[in-house]
Amino acid sequence: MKRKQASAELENLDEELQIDEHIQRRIGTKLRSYYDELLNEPIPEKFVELLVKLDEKERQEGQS
Amino acid sequence: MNDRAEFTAGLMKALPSLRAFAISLSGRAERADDLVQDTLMRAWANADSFQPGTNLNAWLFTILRNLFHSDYRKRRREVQDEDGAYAARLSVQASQDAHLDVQDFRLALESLPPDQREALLLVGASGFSYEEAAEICQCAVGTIKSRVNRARTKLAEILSIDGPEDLSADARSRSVTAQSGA
Repeated sequence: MKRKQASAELENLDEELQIDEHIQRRIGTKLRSYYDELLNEPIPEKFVELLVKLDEKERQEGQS
Repeated sequence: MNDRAEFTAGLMKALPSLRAFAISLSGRAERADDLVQDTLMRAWANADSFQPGTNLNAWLFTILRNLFHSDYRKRRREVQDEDGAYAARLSVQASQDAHLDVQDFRLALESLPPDQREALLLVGASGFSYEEAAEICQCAVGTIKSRVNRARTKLAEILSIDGPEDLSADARSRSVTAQSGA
């Protein structure tokens, strides 16, 4: 039911662009494996250092 | 101060997804890191305007996206050569077979118009609802749905995905016809 409603909405928006469910699922899988690689990359130290520095600065200002 | 500590912890936790979004949005790791750094600085400077209990990730993604777009407009004319050099470097990196599928996907993703790419990334990869994505992009929900749909259609075309199984090479030319007939 929900899917029917959703696709009805999409039909109004993009009548010519209805997309097959299989295709959608396969693209979803590819997108997530691409994105998972990025999510699992190590975070550069400098970001953590930056946050720690900002946090310390805030504490000092809060105390004075 | 407790709020501030919680805020910092939230930023720390958001780092991987912010960075993943920045890389996939900009296509360039170095620039992505600049974007993440600017996002953190801006988030910190505007911490008071964040309402605790609301979606911190959505708030951060909004900042990053706005930074990306103002930067994108500024740089649009400067980067043609840089893009080519980057693509060349990446193709060298893509030496492992298992990695190739992902590389193909990345290139296809990069070929999408930025508004479609970001809509797909927000909804399909970053786990935001259509409504949240609409807020982040400051547009209507219907617009996001339409962009996601267009992005998927375009990717299916580029990657020759057509139904349950991959297309054989000789069937590629039929994919467009099959789609428009579906």
